[in-house]
Amino acid sequence: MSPTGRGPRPERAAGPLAGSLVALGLWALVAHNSGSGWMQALGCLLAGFVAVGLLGPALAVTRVRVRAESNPAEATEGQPASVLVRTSAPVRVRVAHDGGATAGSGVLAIEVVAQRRGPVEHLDLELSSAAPFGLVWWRRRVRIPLARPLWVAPAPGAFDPSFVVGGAPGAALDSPRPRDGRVGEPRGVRPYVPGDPRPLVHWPATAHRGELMVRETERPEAALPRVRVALPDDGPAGDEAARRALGTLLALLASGSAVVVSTIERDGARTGPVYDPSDARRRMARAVARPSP
Amino acid sequence: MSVVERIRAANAPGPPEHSVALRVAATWTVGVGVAACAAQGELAPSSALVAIGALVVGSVVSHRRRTRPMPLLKLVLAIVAVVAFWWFFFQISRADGVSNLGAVEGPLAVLFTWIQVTHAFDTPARRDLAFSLVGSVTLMAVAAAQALDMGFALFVAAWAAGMLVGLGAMWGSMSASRPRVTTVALGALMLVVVGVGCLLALPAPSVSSRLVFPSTLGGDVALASPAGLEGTAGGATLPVRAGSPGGPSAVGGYLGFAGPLDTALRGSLGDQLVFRVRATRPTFWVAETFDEWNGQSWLETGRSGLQWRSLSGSSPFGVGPGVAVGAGTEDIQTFYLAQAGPNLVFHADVADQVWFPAPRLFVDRDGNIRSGTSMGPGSIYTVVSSVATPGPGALARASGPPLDAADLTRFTQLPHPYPRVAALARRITARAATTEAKVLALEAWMGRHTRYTTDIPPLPRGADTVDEFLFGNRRGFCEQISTSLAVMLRTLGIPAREATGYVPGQYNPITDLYDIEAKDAHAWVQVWFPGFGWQSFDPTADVAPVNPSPAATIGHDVLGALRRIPLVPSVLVAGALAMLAASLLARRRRPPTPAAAAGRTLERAARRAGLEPKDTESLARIGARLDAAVPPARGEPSASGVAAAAERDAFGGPGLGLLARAGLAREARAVLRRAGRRPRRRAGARARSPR
Repeated sequence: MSPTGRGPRPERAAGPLAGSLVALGLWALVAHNSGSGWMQALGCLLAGFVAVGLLGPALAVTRVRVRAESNPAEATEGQPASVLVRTSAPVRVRVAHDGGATAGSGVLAIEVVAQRRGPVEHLDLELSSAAPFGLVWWRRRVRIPLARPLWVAPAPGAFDPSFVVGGAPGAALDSPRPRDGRVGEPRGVRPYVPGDPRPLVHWPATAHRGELMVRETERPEAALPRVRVALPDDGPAGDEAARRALGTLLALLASGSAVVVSTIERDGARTGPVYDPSDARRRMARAVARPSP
Repeated sequence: MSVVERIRAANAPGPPEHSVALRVAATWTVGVGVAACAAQGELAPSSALVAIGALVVGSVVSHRRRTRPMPLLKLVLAIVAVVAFWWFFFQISRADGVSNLGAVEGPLAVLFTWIQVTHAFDTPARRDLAFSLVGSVTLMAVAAAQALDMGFALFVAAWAAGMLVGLGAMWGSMSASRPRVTTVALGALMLVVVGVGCLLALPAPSVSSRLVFPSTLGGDVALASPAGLEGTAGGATLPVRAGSPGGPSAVGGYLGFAGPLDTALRGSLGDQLVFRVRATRPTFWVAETFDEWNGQSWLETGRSGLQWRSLSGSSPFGVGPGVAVGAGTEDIQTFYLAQAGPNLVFHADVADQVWFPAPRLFVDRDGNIRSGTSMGPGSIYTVVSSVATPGPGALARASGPPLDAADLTRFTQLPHPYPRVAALARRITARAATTEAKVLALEAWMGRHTRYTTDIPPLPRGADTVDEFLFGNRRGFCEQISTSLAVMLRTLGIPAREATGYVPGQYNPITDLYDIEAKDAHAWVQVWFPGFGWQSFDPTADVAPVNPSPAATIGHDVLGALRRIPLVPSVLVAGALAMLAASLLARRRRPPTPAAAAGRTLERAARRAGLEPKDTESLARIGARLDAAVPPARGEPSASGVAAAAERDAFGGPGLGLLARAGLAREARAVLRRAGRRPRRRAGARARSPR
């Protein structure tokens, strides 16, 4: 997809431009009045170098094409996420309103730090080029679509008991020994998937099947703590509430219990169990104050 | 941030530069600049060689130590730089001062060279290498100021190529990637367009200041009779001979630079470069003028030497007007001799001052100048002339003191009455009221009724050149045409004289010099106008009144150069270049490994068999499809086997040996040939089916 953005602008070109013009003007004056044709020819050559060096990057940065090659699906606000972009020419790529820059051509990895919770579908980049002579940089702002939406979870805030529905949240948190969220009534065994806790490995079944098997347990949802997240808005206040809700969820999960979470997402209300911090972040990234009409 | 902090920040060493291409290009451009200065005589060749060697050593040291700076070395380099500056100021303080550019340029080139050499030992960062690139410009500028011929283009081309590579590498280094050749080539193309555009748009350079003019003698030999006319192309001390086309008569074979000018003879003139002139404007460069006509030759009545005025001392020599002349404009010409020549000092119109590097000059009463020594190649002298430039119609209203009686007699002298010539001149000028109108009428008549050629038989002994020319076949060369005009004017009582020298020649806008070749030797007429002095009229050819535009000149030169390009060698060179380009292109497209080559051949075979390979398809799968579509005959290699071998070579450990790889390529080609046979078999099958 071709990016869209503002036209190219020079970066700190006033000094080189003024210096070049003065130097070339003096050169032309001396060359003309000295009567030396080779001086004048050399000056013309220099003028060519300067003109192409000063203006060439504008053309180069206009012609360069950039697209997102890949990006993670999830990130946390304030934490860097690596996005791969492919450029059609050597350029310096910088995320707009952000610090670091990456230079090169082909596939470049850039660090994106999302400032807000929620989905990110586009990336604002600042492309800079000094082609072909490296005299000055010209930059251009482009907005490129990400390869897939990047859901940004809030940074976890403090535990807030007001999000916990009924029961005594303190009882779960004050439990003497943490319990694994998946420990409950045994249901059967299933093949191991990466991330399963090591104690869940069921060695007899593993020996029987010839592949790693883990115990699968469940317990009634009714026995799980419930968290209801109602964001006041989709602005900063909502973000702050989401941080606290995530902090609450992570605290409950850390106590060894799965949590049933009720949120509102774009397409309506959603209630379901959350078993691990990734689930919790994912839910909080998608939570909104009210569904889309 | 305080000023000190700002200075520290500005001088903070940058990150080490790892680009070898940038370092090599920086060394190359400075080296080319040093070589260019040496080629222009600004540096001694031995110094240039030492400097280039030191540059290379310095670059190597800088590259190896780029991550480990040497503070002690910086101190040593600073001391060397201070010494170089001290030496430079000492040198120019001994010279005449900054007004004498010739005395400053040499030390300046040495200073720039050693600053660059010193700097080469401490170029760890990109900024330092950029300084080297920019510094090479100063060396090229010093050399360019002295360059006189197109040979300097080689240095400019080499330097520009180095700059191109260096700047391209700098861009690549800044962008943390390899610079794209196509982008740099496009930049080079734009650079050429802008450079040539500037060159065409800018007015031609001109000398507008009165500095100390250059003058030097190269290969000079003192003459036996200083005021006499001596020195030839054959030898500096050989006498100039008149009317001897077989002998070494004068530069380029022109017979006009002699005591007498024999109008019956014309040497064969070539395109040998005689000298170059940097001049305020193009004009006739006068060598000699003649006043006495004897029917076949022109003579100088003062050639006995009795009427030569000796000028002693040093430059500038005040020549002064030989014959009274009206106030004119200043015209400066500097002559750069490329061939040994006679001791004639060329000049435009009437010379006022001469910068000449010899202790004596001689001037006759008509303003002709001779030196006391012959002049060899490399001799330089400058003449400041006073040029009377009448405006339109000014000559018609010319008024002022007439020639004195003796001069009037000299310049209207005729060996016999020329009744037929006089009658013809009167008839042609019957309607002309003024001297200028008469001259122009005669010129126009000659343009209409005479033809220029050098292919005429020699004049019979005792025959009058003018009678033979005007009442014969009216064909002749410039000496005969101009002499006829001069004699016709004299029959009308108008003072006229014959002048020999050179026409302006070819103007080179790059060097800002007129290149005078032997074939530019010419003879023309000078007519006396009161108040304006001697004015030149050329009945043979016109002279451009101003410097031609650079665009027109370059266009003309390019066309001329294209015409001169020899066809066969050019085609051979172009063919060789095309083959080289094709070879490089093929090398770039060549698969990197034998396995990749075999894979590509299999893909071609699949396409040839009508089986378009998919991006997601493995080589083994393509091979299997090929074998199914075009089964191998007994003894033929299977596509699957080729695919398996290629994949084994690429991914399966130690890979194939040299012979096995050659076998793999051979088998892949066999599969390709088999795939190509498939359509013919089908066609054959269809053709056989009706039977």
